[in-house]
Amino acid sequence: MMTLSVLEVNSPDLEEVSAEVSRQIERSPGFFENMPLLLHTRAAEIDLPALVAFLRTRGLVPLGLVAPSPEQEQAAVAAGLGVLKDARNMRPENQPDGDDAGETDTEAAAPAGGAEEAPPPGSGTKLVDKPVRSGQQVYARGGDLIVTAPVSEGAEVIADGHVHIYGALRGRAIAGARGDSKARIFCRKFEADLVAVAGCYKVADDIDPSVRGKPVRISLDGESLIIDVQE
Amino acid sequence: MAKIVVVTSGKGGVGKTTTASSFATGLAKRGHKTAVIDFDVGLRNLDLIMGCERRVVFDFVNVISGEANLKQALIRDKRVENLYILAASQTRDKDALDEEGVERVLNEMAKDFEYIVCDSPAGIEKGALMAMRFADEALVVTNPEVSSVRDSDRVLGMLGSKTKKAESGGSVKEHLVVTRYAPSRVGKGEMLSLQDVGEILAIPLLGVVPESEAVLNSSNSGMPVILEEHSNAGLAYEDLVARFLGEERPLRFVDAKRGLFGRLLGRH
Repeated sequence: MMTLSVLEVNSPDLEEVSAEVSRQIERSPGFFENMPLLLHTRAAEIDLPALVAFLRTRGLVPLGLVAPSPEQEQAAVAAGLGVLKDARNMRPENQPDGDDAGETDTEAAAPAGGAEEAPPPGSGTKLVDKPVRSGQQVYARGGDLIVTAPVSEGAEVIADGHVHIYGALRGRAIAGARGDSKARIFCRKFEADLVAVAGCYKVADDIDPSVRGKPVRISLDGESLIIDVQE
Repeated sequence: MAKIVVVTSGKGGVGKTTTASSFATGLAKRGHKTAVIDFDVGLRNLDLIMGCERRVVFDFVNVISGEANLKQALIRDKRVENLYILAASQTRDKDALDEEGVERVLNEMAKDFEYIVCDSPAGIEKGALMAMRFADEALVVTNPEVSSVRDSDRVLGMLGSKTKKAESGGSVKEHLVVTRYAPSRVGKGEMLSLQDVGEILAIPLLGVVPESEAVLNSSNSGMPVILEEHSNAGLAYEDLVARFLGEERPLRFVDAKRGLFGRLLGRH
């Protein structure tokens, strides 16, 4: 089991899809770099080879097509993609804001037949020593994230491993972004909007007010997030 | 070579144009040849606050598109020597600000001026982006309330990623300017304190401008408030300019008691 991102293509218009994908990438540059990707589309008439070529130019790595129609299957094989017939785990309803092509994380088995076996190994720990501002997103792929400055309200810090913040956490922090339930979040001053470990999250409203402003450690115990004050 | 300073905030109505006009006027008063440019194409305001709205013939967009040259478009201020204003076009929109054109005009101005102050429109779209694009330094204007602070935070992120300086590996020097500060309301918990704002934004504080009727009055009469030498806001801008130029000045008008004392002395 591993987590892969699925690109939902709901429009047959390649230009529209390209524009949306570019917009998503520009919103969080770096996040999508060399990201392995599955494709899923109901738009049968889309030009698959052209889409694949476009995605590669934007630094994405399309691996396979999920639940294709028979014609799409042929096109996929011709475009050098793998084919995943089992789509039980698809969760298209998770698409953000009805975008034409949104990113949605889903669990999927390793792609079959001819495609690359696994996502590329991570670049390891990432260190950020400037404030992470509202609207910015930092992602430590395949490693820990260390931030030595505050994380502002409306900012997002994400790591596949642990998240360490030597400052105030006012935005969102996500540890174990690819499902590592042993990942933890540490911060000096806890005022977060949202924290999540391996997909289990808590929003500010659900968090005991007595831990606000304190240094904390956040870990996952079964299905629930534990927030420990570290004084 | 001129220093380009952008006055920006994200949120509208926090005092960008007031700050840009007083800041530019203050620099010019101290003998630095300064130009102030209105980037708010379509919602031109700077000319009103500078009191030169009836002398606008050509504007920034005319210069960008080559319909006029800089000499024709720059308006010389009547009160302060060394001060020039480049108005925005009221009839166009932000798409008229193409990057190459803006760069060309700024480069041409840089030969002749010591400081170029760019008055940014609100928002984070093209107008605001172009205003900050070529900046060396930035005055980030914030009111002591949460939405303004959050928007300023967003703008600080953009200064750190979308400017020419940031893209070439350098960084824009950032200064915090807190405007409409009312110490008595901070005391009552109705406003964020300077400390709160400073803690969230984490950039050096350049100046604090108190809430003051003088700002509204002087805007209406087309005079940068820094020229109101008897108003608290005017004095605060004087201090701000002095600090920007490297002088040490203690903060004034940040403490409730003193504000009251000031009122008793007839200051407003």
